[in-house]
Amino acid sequence: MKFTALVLKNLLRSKRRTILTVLSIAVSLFIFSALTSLPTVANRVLADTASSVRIACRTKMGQAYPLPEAYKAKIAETPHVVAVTPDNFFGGIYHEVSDQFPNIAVDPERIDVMWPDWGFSPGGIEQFKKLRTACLVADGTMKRFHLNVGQQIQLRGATYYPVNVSLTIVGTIAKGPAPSFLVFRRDYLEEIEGRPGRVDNFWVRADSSQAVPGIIQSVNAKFANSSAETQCDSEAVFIGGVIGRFRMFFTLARILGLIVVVTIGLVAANAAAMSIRERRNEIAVMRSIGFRSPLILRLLIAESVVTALAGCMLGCGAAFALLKIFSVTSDVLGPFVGAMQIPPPALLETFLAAILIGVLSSYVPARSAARRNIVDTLRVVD
Amino acid sequence: MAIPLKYSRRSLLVRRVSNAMTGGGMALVVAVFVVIMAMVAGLAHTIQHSGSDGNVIVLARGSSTETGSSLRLDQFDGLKFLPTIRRDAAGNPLVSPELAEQVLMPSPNGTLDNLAVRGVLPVGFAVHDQVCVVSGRIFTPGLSEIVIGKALIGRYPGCNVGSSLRFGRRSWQVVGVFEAGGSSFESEVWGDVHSLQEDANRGTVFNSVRLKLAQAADAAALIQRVADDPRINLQAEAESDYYREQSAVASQVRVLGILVAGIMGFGAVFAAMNTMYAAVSARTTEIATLRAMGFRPRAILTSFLVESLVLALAAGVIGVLLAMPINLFSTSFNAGLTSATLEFDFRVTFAIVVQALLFAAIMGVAGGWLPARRAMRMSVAAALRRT
Repeated sequence: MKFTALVLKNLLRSKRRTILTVLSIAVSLFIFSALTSLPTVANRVLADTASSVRIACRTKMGQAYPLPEAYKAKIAETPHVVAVTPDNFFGGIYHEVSDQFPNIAVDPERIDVMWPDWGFSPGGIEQFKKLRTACLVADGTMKRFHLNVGQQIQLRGATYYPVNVSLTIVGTIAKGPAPSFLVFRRDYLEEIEGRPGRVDNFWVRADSSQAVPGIIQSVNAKFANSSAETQCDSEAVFIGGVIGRFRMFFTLARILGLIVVVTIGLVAANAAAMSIRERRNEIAVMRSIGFRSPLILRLLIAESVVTALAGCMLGCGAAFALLKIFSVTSDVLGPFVGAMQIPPPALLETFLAAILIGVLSSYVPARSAARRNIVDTLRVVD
Repeated sequence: MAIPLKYSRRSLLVRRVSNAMTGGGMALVVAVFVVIMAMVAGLAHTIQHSGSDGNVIVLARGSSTETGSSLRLDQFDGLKFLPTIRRDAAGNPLVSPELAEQVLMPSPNGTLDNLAVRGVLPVGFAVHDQVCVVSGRIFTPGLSEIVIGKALIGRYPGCNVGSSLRFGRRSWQVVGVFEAGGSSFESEVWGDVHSLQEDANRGTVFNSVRLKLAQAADAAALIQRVADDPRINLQAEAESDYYREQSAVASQVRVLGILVAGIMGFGAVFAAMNTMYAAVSARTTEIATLRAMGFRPRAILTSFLVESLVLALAAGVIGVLLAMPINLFSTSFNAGLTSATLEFDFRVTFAIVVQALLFAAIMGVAGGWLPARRAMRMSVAAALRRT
């Protein structure tokens, strides 16, 4: 520790080189931390939103194949089931096609039992159960389109349903599955459509998480070999499947992250080599007055680690600040960015990457400088 | 008088190890850029080549995608006999009503993929003229038979001629494999539209109608005619335009790629600056000597910029070469919940190579500018006195 001052002084000797190296490491570690955060953030979204007692029942066949409404009663009589809520993905458009946000029709009566974690505004649920054209809107959507409670809005069903719905906002959702989001009543949609009795998914709530596997099994068994078989998954598995679709991006992010580390490794090694080469004489002098080579090796490596850590702090700081700005404007960037932060594991990984870069980049030139023949070095005059 | 190029090149070779490391860093940045751009180009190519010239796609008014559009039988009947539609030898109009659905398919790695299934009539093969059956035969209408795109072979169990694939409510016999010029159709399963409608309980609903225009017919006029007809309430678009819009996902990936490569580029610029500054300070005496010999300051500036540029371009070439093998790879892409899995090849195009070299050159100039200016402004007397 008594050599800290020496290490710092040496770093400040060529300020420009140190600054350039730190900046170069900072920029690369910034990207690295963002890239390694990606999969972790996705998993955290999963852990945050998924409840251990909710089950998603969808058709085993694919989006084009709906489930019959009659399944609701059949699922509800399964032991340990507290609530069953059918939903239809309406996919309506508000004003412009580019304004799209998820809008879903659900049965109103058990919605507060099914999603108590959504943070409904006070009184919203009661109104939702009373008024057939009612809708509940996520805070993000309210802000984005400057909507007020009590306002009427129209959604054009150009996509999956060839009908329009006109809805009255009766309350807000603070913590829905997405920052921008809307739910309205399925009985209203059914009525406009002429009661086809179609359901996209059934959400099922169990009385305890232990009961979930049993419910999944018995519901799947109940409809096995029928003309509409079900595929039930716990909410975590269901959302995990959705996130899993982005796995190619995650693999890409990991590979890119690795390349970034190798790239900075080269840059840092170069800077360390340059700085050590210039000090060959000095190192020889230090050794001739009694400094041992292992100590010199350690000092040189410490220099490079300090540089890398400075870069790490700068890079992570920048990433942190940028993500803060992002989360303010997250609405336009989709559901993921809302929860975007550098998670601790990614931070740790970046930190370790910085240390690794510091040590590996300086090891070879430092070792050769520390072991170099003193007499030969001092004899060369430049 | 300018300093010969040879001087720059030889100077680079003097500090071989140092320059190799800086160049290596730049080469990796360029390689990353090329790989991401090759992915974007491959994805866009696959989607955009799904359109045929002279084809028009008709969707429900307000729909932006085929899967999110529904058309009734009477709307289809309103389209069938429009005058500008091409007819085949037997006089039947080349109009293809289509069903585009996605079914859940368990993939070998344990996830559930969205597999795209298209319901067509035999006329569909005449309308999509890039599609041709390369082994086996076309499905027989009314039977549970399907043909599969080339990219699907072996991807799921049962994706071979002679086997059967289970989806929807029944098992479908695979009777043929088709090629479609590398387009997204090659990741699809095609079957009889009526069998598929029946299997999904979809009644007589279609997702889109594709028309082939008569030679020299005016696509814009037809599109306008459909737009003006309030009875059918549909919208028409040239297939090429439709698929260009569908490839918007590729431009999102492109933005991501440019962002990552751009930021990494900044890191590489700092590294280049470092090496060039070191080069300038190591050659102080040399620069002063050059000046004393009569080379203008501007010539010194140019020479150092050229040195940095040569390093960057060499790195660029190496980066492109490093990334070239990606051409041999293909990958599957799934952009979200509502889109089907798509197989595509990476494509390093000539334009990407040019862009990559330009990117390298920009890094070189940006990294060399400040050190070169420093070399230019050096005081001759002070520099010579130093030794």
